[in-house]
Amino acid sequence: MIEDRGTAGQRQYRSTGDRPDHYSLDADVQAKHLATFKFSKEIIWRLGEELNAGPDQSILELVKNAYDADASTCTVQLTDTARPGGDVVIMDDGQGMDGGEIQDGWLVLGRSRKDANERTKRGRIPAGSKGLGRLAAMRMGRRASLLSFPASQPGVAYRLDIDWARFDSVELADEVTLTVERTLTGTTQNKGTVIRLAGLRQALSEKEVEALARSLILLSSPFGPEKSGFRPILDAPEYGEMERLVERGYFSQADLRLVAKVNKLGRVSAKVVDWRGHLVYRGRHSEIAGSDGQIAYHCPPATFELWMFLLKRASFGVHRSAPAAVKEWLRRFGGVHLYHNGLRVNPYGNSGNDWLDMNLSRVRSPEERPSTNNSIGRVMVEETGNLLVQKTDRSGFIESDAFSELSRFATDSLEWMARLRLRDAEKRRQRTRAEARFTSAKAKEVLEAALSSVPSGTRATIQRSLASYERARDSETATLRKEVQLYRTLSTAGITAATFAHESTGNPLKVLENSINTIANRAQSVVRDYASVLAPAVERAKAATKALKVLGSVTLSLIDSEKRRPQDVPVDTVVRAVAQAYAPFMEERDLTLDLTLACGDVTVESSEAAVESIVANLLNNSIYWLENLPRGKAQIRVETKLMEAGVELSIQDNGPGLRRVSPEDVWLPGVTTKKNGTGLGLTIVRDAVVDLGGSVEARSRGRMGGAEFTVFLPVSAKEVRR
Amino acid sequence: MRIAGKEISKVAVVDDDRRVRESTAEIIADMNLKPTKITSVGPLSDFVSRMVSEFHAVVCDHRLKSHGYASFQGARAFPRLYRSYVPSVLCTAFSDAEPDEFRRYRRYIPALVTSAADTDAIVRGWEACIREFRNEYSPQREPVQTLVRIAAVDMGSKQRIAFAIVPGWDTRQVVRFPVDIVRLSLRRFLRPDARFFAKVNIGAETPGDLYLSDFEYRG
Repeated sequence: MIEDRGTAGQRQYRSTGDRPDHYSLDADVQAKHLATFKFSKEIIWRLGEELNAGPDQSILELVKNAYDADASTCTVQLTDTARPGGDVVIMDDGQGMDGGEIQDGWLVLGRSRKDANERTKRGRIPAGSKGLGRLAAMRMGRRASLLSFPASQPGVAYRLDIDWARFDSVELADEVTLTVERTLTGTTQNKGTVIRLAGLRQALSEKEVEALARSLILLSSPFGPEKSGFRPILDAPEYGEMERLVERGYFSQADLRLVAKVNKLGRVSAKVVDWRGHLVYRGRHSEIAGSDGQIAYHCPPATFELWMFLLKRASFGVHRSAPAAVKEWLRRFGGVHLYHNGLRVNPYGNSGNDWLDMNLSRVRSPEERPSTNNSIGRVMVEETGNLLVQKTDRSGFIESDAFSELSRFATDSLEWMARLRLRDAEKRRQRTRAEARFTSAKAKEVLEAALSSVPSGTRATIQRSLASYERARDSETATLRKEVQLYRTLSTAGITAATFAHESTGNPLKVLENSINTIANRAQSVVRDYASVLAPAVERAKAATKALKVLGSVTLSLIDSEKRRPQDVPVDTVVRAVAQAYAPFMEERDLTLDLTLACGDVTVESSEAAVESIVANLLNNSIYWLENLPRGKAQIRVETKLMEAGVELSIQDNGPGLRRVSPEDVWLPGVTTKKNGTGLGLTIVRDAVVDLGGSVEARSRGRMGGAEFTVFLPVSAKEVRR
Repeated sequence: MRIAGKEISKVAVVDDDRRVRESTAEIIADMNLKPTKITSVGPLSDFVSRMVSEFHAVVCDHRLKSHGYASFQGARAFPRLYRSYVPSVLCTAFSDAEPDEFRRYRRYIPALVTSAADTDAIVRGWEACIREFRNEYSPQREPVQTLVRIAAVDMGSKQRIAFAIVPGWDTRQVVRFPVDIVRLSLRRFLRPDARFFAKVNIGAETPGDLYLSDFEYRG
């Protein structure tokens, strides 16, 4: 529409700052065009498809609408969905919708019909779908129809049919008129809504149906003593089996159950009970919140429950089902699910989703920790304050402060329990150790008593043999003790080095670097003869700071936990990375490192840490023996070669070679000819290589004149297939 | 100071350590700029609003959470600072680095510097931001639609990770990225040997500089 204001005016554009796309218009207005946004049909397609996290999640959106409508059941029927063209029907017995509610609510995209601050008649807090997931579901079929029986108008039904083909011939979405028909049903018994998605564009795979069944079962927390008044049902064979499986409920057989609660003041309390319901631990806020003990959790009130199963065959006694059945049940439903106002939020607790990092914590410290494979749990949050907001694409909550605080509450509760369980495990270990000594002494007494009944001649022979055996055993024990002590010492040294490295490369080094820079800058204007008086000292300080930074970063790079993940590791890439990390040392020592790498991207099944420890320990060994060579003469060569079924890695140097130790013995633990050496570096190499199914070889005099170490590593299965 | 046609004077110094804040502010002051040490950060949205309304540029540390200084890490603020046209450099030491977090936000972090003492790097960083706001990219940062071949996917932890080869950048090097930078509807296609197209700065010099965005599935 145009409103004519007469003569042509002059337009002036004024820039707002230097943002090139922001302009305002000063003008004598001549005409007004009343305009609205219009949407091409493609935007509907795109919204429907891009926000579609899979057919199960789309259908789930329609089921959530049923929950919001106070339904007690919602049935999803699948007909011929194993191939394209099938139908999906979703029926509920909720409050239904009248024509106005369909027109102004259900058909409106991007706005929720329900107010999350207002509870429904059944006391539910509406999930408040914005209609985008609904759109994705409606687009699954070539046609969609909605038939609704509003409880407010008994005997009346409203019908809406959508034929998506009608959109093909138009440009804009609003060019297609949809009609909501009102009909009389002849009965006043009906209420609820039936949605039919007809002529599916794509078949639903078995996996998708299974995912749908699982999502429906878990939607309104089927576990625990209290169940919600909402039951979604999938009319498909997979569902019955799965429902039976979930209802079988092994909760009462859990070895331990954690219940943690955070109240509206952000204070947490928790307890752990065993399978008989006996209290094992009880914790207060200050004990659970750890170092932040005084700080409250800024999240809505929530309850976290976790059922843990030790799954050890020995612990499956009278009160337990077969471990295989429990394992299967945990495989299907395990993990920690998150329920927001009564409904499960995807994807928390899905297979592969470990939002509380339980598996990672277990990898770092495996003892006494639950994982997603041996536990099932739920975090229940009820709130009307909209502190937790779901992402538009329904891929979980927006990462807000409230959500990270909620995760912190659950993680801290797990940590608290792990700490206490570890403490108990340690007590058990000490007890076993003490008992072992006693048992050993007792066994000796029994043996001596038995010996006294043996004829004296034979007894003396047996006693001599026994004494000899005891000496050998004591010697072996002593060696093992020394080895354990050595590992402990080295671990302590490693941990301390890493701690110092972390601290020093962080803030202290930043302050040092910044301050040296400022001193240098400012001194230039106040100190006469800066160049001769201060500059050399400042440059030395800068160089030393840089060296410290490198030292710290190399130490930290070695302990990066990601490197311990099992994976296909390209050997050449690791060698290059280690060489790069060592470059400053090599430079400092005027040492030449030559890389002749010929394996490209060929990988071995290992972890980066394992390959790195092989390369780093061999390099450390060479660097040590090259120390006494004149500056500029020391050389190391690292070579990789692709062999028939593996990678050959060799490290050669021009040092003194192996002295006072044979090439066979050089790998033994504790064998060293270095002053203050541990004799463990090459043992670690050998152990790591053997673990990977490879072999090691040492030569006293190699191709460069010094020692040469060769390692063979079998390539990964992927490479063999290739 | 005028950088790429934009006047920069007021600079926010964001760091959870008082001594680092002070020493960084001294460096900024020596550049003839007016530093403000941000002593408390508050929620992310308030922080960004303040940066937009009060400052011409930002020097921000990555680790901000210690002692309750902030509820978010520095890198997370960068998409909003970038979209609000605030030139910002992320200043971080090796020990603070979180490769996955950086990859997630790298598209919006034109400049990552390891030391505030490197004033040239800071100025270059701000300049890179200002130019990118005008769609002027350096060869190292220019986004190019390119093939991304998935090598492996690790869904076993909270931080789900994918590993891929970007042949247009390096035919051998495996690039790691958090799965959630891929649009939800496409994540189900993430499996070994799946091919995607994505916008990648294939001129990146190191793996840490690489960003991937706008994934499209090509089977």
